[in-house]
Amino acid sequence: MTADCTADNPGDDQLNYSVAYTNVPNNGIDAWSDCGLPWVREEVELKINAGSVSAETAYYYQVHYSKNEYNVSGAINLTYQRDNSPTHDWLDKVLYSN
Amino acid sequence: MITKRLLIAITLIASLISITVLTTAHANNLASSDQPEYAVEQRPNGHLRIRVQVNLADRVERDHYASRQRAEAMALARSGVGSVPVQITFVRPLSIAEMQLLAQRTGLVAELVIFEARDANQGQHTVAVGGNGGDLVDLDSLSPDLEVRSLRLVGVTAMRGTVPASASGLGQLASDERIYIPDVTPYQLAVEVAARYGLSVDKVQVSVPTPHWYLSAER
Repeated sequence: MTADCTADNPGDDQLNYSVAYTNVPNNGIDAWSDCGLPWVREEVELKINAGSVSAETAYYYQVHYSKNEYNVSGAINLTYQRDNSPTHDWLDKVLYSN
Repeated sequence: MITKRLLIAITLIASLISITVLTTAHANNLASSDQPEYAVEQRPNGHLRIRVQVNLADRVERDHYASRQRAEAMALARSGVGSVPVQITFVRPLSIAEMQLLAQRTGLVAELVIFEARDANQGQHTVAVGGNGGDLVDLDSLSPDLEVRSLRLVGVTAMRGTVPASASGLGQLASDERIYIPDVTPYQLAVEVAARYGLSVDKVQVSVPTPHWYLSAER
């Protein structure tokens, strides 16, 4: 899987995530691309209001990607980040890389 | 020797700064622009990510933001700048048929459609689906996953896409009573920040929160 970093498509959604399912109380799901970077193809962020999640509650987040009409599977890592960055002060990031 | 080490250190720091993610929080400056507070993240490839920071869990702040965006959308609809990005949050979940009719009437093109879904215990879920042109979404492809999770789609609660900045396009959306927030901040901030940083607009990505979850939970 390689990023489609063409001049005509410089910052578009590289993996074209097609469907996301979650039961996490959230503020939105964003797909970002880092076209031009060799080590990141696309990031999908699930933005969560940390105050609205409850302890001992099962949450899930499932993302399907499509690229060239094929579903893509790969590692999805959830990282809890708080108060260490002005832009990542929520329980947040789902990072897809391959 | 010390001077040489100092020069090397300065060079290293400058290099790190140039390749490291830089973040800058911008306070809302009502004097020059009535934009909500937002943060800018400069990516190593030169692109900018903007995250709008508005507390939409708070009803008062949410209503204020909604009113302001409606006014901004009305104004933008009179500008005739062409097709603009918009994020819509609905007052109540809309059926696919309602969404399709709305899209046909306004020229709205969906890039992302967000559904409220409920499980067998009425637990709240979100299903976000990539846009599928005129049909908006391909519901047939969703069925297997919905069945596995015992999910029932309630309706469309929010969406992102583009719409012509005209009276029949964005203007009609902004006056539709089913729409709670016709959010045009992605367009306005992208233009404003791109100009400030000397970038083209396509190198600026803007993320705006939507209160769709809260609206569903409070219903």
